[in-house]
Amino acid sequence: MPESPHTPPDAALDRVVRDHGAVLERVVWGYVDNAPDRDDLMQEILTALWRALPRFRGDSSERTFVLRVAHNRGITFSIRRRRFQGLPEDGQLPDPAPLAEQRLIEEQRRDRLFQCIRRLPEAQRQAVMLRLEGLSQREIAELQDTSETNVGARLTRARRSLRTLLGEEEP
Amino acid sequence: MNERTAPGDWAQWQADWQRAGHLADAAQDASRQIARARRGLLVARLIEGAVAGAAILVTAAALRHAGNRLEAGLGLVVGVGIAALWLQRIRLRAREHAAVAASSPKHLAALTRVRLQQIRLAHFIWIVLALELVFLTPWWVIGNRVHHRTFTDLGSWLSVWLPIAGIVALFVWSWRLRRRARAELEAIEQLRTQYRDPSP
Repeated sequence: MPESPHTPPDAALDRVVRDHGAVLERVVWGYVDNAPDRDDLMQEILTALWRALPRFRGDSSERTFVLRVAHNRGITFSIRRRRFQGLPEDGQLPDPAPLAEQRLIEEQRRDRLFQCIRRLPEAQRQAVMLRLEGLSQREIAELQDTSETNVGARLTRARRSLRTLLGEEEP
Repeated sequence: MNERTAPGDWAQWQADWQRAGHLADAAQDASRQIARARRGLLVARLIEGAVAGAAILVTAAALRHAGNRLEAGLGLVVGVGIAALWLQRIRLRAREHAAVAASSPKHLAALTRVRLQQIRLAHFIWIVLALELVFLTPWWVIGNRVHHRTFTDLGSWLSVWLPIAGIVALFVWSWRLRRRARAELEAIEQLRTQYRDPSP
């Protein structure tokens, strides 16, 4: 829902973070592989959202709007970082306290998935992350400014690459 | 194959994906991160404003001592040039922020335009600095003679060495801006190719 022009940006941002915080967290980890970068990128995304929210007119769903801003900041972030450190190295999500075996296995599988997604080319990576967030091919096509056919081709290639990468990553 | 008809892998990956991301992490950080970003922005704007204001004031002060119309004209060009640089920088920043809610290829296109303008801005800075040196050099030499100063007097430190330090700093900053913008342009172009071509 578009924010009223009288809603202070801080209040709007607080609500967006409450509603879409988990989505933002996942997008960030799709672009970075360590905690300091995560903090930097999250700060950039939140600042961008804080500035962009007053301009949101409800042309798309708020979720799509948030994803668009977050991915664009993620892309800008990786463009800047790539100059200094090349392709991202394999990293790990923060490892919480000791976990039950089942949860540990799930977390390892999830970490591997994030690592492999981060190794995909940018356009494929974005398409995959949006697909995993539950966006339709039409919505992804709008966000990538391309046709649904192209998105389908991109996802097919990404799936093939992911299967190969996940196969390589198997312990 | 249509990806909508191949749910096997996707369903498993989506389940793994959706399990990640803790709302609390983002929510807990939001106000702290925004406050930090605001402080950073405010400090950066203040420094930028102070640098631009000081540069214009120094030029205005020098303009009052211009020996002839040519010097006065050059001084005016420099003063206006500095103000234009400042405004252009604000405009570029606003343009980059406005493009953040566009589709990714449009966002990349906007980034390309902004980086190209940053390169032009760096070139413009070099022209302004060259003009400034043309204007300031005779003013320094003649001014020191008129005021019977040596180049180590306090007056010389304020009117000669301080502006020179500013000019060097601005040159280094613009050179780094240009180098960064050129490197980012290459990366942006690679990404734009990816978004144009469905194959990568």
